[in-house]
Amino acid sequence: MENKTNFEDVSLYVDGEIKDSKKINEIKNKIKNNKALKFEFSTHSLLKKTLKEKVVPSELSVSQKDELFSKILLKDNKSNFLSRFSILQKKQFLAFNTFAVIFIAFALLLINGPLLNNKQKIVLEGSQSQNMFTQAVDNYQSILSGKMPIQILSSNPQEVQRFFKVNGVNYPTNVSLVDNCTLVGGIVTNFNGVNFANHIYKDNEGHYLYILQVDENYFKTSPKLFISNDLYQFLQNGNQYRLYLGNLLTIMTKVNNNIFALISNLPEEQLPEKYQLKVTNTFYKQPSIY
Amino acid sequence: MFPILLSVINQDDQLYASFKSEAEPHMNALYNFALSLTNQSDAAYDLVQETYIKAFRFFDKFERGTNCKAWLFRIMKNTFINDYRKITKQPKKIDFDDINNFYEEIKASFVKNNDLEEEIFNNLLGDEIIDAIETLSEEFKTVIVLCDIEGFSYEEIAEITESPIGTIRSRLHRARKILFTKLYKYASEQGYINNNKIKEN
Repeated sequence: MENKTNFEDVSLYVDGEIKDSKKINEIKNKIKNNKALKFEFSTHSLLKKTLKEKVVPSELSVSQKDELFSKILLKDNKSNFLSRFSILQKKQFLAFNTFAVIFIAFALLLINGPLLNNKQKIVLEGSQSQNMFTQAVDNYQSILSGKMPIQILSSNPQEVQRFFKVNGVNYPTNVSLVDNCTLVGGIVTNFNGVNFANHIYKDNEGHYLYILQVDENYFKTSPKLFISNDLYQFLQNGNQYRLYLGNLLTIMTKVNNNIFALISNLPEEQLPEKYQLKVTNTFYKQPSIY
Repeated sequence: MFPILLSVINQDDQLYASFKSEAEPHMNALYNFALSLTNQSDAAYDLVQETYIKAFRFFDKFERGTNCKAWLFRIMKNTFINDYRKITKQPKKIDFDDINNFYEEIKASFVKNNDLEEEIFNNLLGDEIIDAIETLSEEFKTVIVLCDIEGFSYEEIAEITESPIGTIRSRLHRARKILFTKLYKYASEQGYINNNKIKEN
């Protein structure tokens, strides 16, 4: 028993677990005068040193770490984030508000939409669910009502882009910084088997900017999600389509090779200052669009 | 609705950012621990993922300023026990008598020559050492990795494994004895050591 205690004391000494100097000296003396304890000390020290020097730790790559953090939010269905959203959903007056906004928005769209902000008349076909524009409005409402949870919370554009790529968005995406706004995160939505990139910004005054972006080539091959030929051509010609839906400003534009649908609850006159998209990496073909 | 939502997003944004800054620096250490527990890189990656998902779920209960690394290791240890242990191939049981006999032979040689031949482990490769660690039983492997590779104190190891500190002490002592003997034996078989030295005694 005493031997066992002595041997374990040697382990404690080797691991720096003994703080009392008197006890340390005591063990040192025992090691010096007892060959069995000296052997114990030598083996433990040698092993510890060898492990420290020779075992090279494996490392996860940056992309593996990013993927892992993305999955944390995707899989964590019981996270506070989502449960707090579901509390909001349960409040009836909010549900009514949401319904009212959507109803008024679509009424305005159908009655006045194409004539509001554009000199050229465009056939918008806004009431059809397969329409990209309508899809974007639906998504915006779903995100803010909590029905569509944000899958990656990140203020880093590259991280959100990587998330899109890892989660099956098969086209290059554009996510940039916006002045006075924070990137909240991104969502990958699936429409008839094809994945699309969505991201959202917020500012400190309760304003949001949501973007759905779709590869322009997608619209060339009988897509399930579509924009009208008129609008497609209009955007291809370097134009931008703007429309108010209730208090929501909606913009269709082309950025690099993607068609963007932007939805924001910000008053239009503030948009130039607030949501001046930074033209980094030549993301934006038309920097003066705002 | 928007102000309420804004505060919700703000709070969760902050929680996530805080979790990421606390937990991300320990990801490689946890991956290595997961590798030692599962012996498979895919399973290890999944185990890290499960650990982080659970940790994030309970992060609002984590007391800031306390030891986040130890907290994550404890979650991983429990996740492994609950979800992975059954599907992980366990190493063969070792014969302690064999180990003891060989250890005593080395000791006798040391006592006689007053020399451990410290260079014996110089020729060992990192992978060979990892292979030897993998052959240890889960409880021995755990204390070796946590103490000698990750540098946790006995108290932290006791907290992670939810075992008394006395148990950790004796387990670690025994684990080192086994690992040392295995490595010495291996080095001897590979010709890294003068085989005759032990036999001469």
